[in-house]
Amino acid sequence: MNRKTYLRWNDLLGWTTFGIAAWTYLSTVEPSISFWDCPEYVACAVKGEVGHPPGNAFFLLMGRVFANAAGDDMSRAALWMNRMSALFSAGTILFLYWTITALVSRLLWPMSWPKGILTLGSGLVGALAYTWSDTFWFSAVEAEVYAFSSFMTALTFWLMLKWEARADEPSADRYLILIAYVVGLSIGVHLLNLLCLPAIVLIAYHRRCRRPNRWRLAGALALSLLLIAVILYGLIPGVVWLAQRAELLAVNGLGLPYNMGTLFSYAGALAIIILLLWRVYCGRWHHSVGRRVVANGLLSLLMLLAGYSTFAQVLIRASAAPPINENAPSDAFALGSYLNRDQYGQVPLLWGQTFASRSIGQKHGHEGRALWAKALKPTDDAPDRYYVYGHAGEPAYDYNVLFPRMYSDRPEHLAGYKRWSDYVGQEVNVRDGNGRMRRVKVPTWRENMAYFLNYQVGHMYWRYFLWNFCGRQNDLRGNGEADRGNWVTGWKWVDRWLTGSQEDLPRMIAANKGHNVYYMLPLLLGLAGMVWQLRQGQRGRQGWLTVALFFFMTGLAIVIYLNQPPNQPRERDYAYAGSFYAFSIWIGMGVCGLWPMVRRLSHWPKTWNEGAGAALTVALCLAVPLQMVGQTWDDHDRSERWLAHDFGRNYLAALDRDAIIFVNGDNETFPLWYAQEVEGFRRDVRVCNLAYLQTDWYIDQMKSPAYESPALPIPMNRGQYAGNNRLVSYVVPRSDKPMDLHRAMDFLLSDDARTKTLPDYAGRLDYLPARKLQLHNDVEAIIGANVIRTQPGDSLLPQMDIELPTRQYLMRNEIVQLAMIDSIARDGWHRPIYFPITSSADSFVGMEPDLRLAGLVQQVVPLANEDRRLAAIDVERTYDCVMNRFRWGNADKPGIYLDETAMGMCLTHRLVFGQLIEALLARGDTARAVEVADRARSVLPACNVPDNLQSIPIMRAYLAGGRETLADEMAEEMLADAAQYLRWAASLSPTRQASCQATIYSQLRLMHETLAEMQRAGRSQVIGHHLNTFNHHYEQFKFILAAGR
Amino acid sequence: MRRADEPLCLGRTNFIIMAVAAALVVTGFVLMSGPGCTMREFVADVFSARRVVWAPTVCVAGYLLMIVGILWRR
Repeated sequence: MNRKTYLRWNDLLGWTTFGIAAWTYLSTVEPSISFWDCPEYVACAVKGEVGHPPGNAFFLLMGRVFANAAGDDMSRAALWMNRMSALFSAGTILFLYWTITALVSRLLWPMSWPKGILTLGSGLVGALAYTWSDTFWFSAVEAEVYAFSSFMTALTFWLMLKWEARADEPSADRYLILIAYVVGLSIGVHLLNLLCLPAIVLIAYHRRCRRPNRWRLAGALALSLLLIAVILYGLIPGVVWLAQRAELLAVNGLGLPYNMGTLFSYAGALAIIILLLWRVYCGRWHHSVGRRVVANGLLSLLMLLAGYSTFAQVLIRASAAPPINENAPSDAFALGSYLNRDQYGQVPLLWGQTFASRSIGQKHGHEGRALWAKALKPTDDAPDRYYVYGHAGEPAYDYNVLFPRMYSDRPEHLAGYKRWSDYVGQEVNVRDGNGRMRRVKVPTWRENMAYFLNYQVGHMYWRYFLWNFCGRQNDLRGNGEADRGNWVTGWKWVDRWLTGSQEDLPRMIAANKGHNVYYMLPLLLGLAGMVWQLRQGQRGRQGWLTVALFFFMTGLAIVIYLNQPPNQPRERDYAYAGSFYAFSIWIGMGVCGLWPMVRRLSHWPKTWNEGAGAALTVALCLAVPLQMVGQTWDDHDRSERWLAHDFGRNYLAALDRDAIIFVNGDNETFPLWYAQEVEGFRRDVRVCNLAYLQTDWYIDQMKSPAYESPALPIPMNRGQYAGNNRLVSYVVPRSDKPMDLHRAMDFLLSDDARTKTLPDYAGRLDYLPARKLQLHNDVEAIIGANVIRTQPGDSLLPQMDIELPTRQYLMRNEIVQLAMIDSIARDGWHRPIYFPITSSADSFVGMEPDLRLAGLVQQVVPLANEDRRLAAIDVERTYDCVMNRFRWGNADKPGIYLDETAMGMCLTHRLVFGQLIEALLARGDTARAVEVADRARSVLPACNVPDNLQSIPIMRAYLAGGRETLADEMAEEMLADAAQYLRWAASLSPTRQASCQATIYSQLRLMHETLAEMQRAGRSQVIGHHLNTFNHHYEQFKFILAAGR
Repeated sequence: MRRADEPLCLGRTNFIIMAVAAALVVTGFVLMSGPGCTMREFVADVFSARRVVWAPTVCVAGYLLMIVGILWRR
């Protein structure tokens, strides 16, 4: 095969894999938004708004360009952004193909036909294996930054190989300059891209260094890490630092408007570089340093800064103050803390605290760096000015260790730290802030490392790696349980050892679409490829080291950097897609690794021996990605899934006009934002996120009108909540008597010194002098406002009792909530207040007793009803919601893929059905109860959403309504299912049983409730033998359940 | 070869294209600017087609043209 033929085939097959990948992703993309961050990204791209730190400006700009394809039909904008991810992912596959063939062909050159087939086959096998791998596919079909980020990384790596191939020509330098530009742009997509820089430096080193040796190699590696550090800690914050200094000079010093300093400093930096370039190009050169090196260096820096300029979008759009404006980064100072992700706090890396350490004031003893913000203007035409609103110090700790891995002292993390490290601890003496010694129990170094290796490296990295190349038990979030999210192989004799018995697997494993097994084949092929590359002489070893460095930096290095605490709220495999990309290069090379074996086995006539052998090898290896796609298609096919879209709307659907809904968490917030911002649905409602409500910028935004929603009545001025004011307020009850809410708020918000001092405390303190509060309603005003809807038997409450949580303190968001409730109540409850049904008890600031369910949300109502059920649910509204208003996102379509998050949302809806049925049954309205039960089973059918505890009321409705056969069927199915699980669990080892304790408990409870329900209805004859099964398992697991409490 | 005579990879045409690209980017950001919402009123112009549709499109065109500017060869 001559060079020309090879290159032609290389192009053709590269674009073929692109086509296969694009077709795969485009036919499985979600037709609208997905859960988590996607709806936020879609809203921010389509409307030019500002999402969560550190911002993804270039991604948003590009997303808008793709959304343009939707035209005026805004409901298709999300689809087009998903398609953008699909196409960028397919582009990643294209570069992966070319990367593999470039790395293989240099080792096999000159090309004979068999070698050509092997090279092209390697590319095909490796690229397709990655195309159909779990983690990468997940990000390829939704509007997340990871697809775009992967594309930038793949492009960078490929450009470097391109440069390497023709580095002797001066014109090849343009590839280096382009790389600098791509790196600059990718800061506006995701910082992950910086991690491929070391591999790139290594390529340059191997290409350029005339006499390589170990020391020079180490030097090159150190240099590459330095390069990341310079960009990450020098250039990115440096540009902002420069802008901040210039801002202070221009605005506070010279009286110019905001952002002029930023503009001048950025333009100035560019101008200086351009002037220097001008000198290099046009002046006479008489320096010892090469002219070409200097010119390329300057051009690269210029292009890096040019790429970075995408963040102007953040400044400009934040200045426009749209409704989504997270951290309001409209000036260089706010942008600095936005880019620095200050909101998420600092994680110690090399030296720092353990969970047992206590904070002893500030590091270095001084007050920390000054925090600047825009000053409030006394009049509209007053000049712009910045002022210092506080100081940010780094806390110092009394006990520090090297490489701290167990650093968080939050209670929800402690148990996890201890479990993953088999914690015993050791006692040490430490000197606290006042110089006194205290004795404290701290984790040992060995435990620290055990946590690092068991949890961070093993559970949160290798498990994901093996999901992709060995097999995955199911799509449930795993925390070390034997029945959730483990890696498996598909070989029963291995899996028995990994997760326990493989006979008669319960449905949550066997029938789970995320149950994918590859029999370790991709892993073995990749290992064969690693070995093959290593054995190809010096160039092979050099290439191997480059890929290995890439693999390490995009995998384990991130693990070290993130330093994750335990109990992550979702699986994090998406962060490591880059290292799976690197491994796929080796999977491709596995073709060459297998070739000698196949050649030895085949005894064909000599004339066509070699070529046929190579083709046979490629064909055999292609079976590996094909087997993978057979497993992964069903749990990545999101076509026709409208769940996140419809369920987000369902939250809004039941609300009254001008309502306020207090939400928490991504999946309660972002789908609602999307519905309002992009589709214009219910813009009169104000979605108020309680986590953000702790920040002053968000309170500002809530006090501003947005679309048709008037400003929220928050009776606090900026001075009362800005900066660090009332970030935390204490609850110090002075008596047991309830205090009027309005007076309590006045007391807390007052700046009078008498409200800030306590007899037994020397300092100034914001506190609330009561735990029990009382809200007095103006009944006339409520009737006048005519907003609160009533049911038969309701009476208006003249006063409502608020019992605050038993904590010693209230967060700022709770103060704002209370102040707002007070203000609204005094105006006759003119703006209805809601919480989602999924809110945690922490969100209600003592209003739980006054909640009334209406659809997916619960309203705070100043009402009482003698019928306790009617007090808890608005029957007619909920009925209207589930029968008419709600949409179900195709959850009823047989075979639709519901992952754990989607399933959870379906079960939340089933919970609403259950509560409605209970209320209808209690009122004797059996006919409608059965109607609702039918509806529940048709929109959320058991084939997609298996029956569980939430289905018991549905069964009850059928039993009451004379549809016993149906109830029998449901009961039989649930009992058989639970029994199967328990039978399986019984075969596990005691340790594994203990890990599955939560599921064992829920299955026992399901059996118990179902049996009790059937017995109550007099249908004992139907469930006879299950009773014995239940008793048997109950006896069996009693001890585990007791131990778990 | 003397260091002073080393050929440089980008020439006149490259710089002209890159300047046009930069001008496009700047134009995009200028198109994106305008009055903002305040605590008193919500300004619908924040989402006008010029600021939300055209501006990003022009910016992206500029950013992509920059790549052409770097790679252009006579």
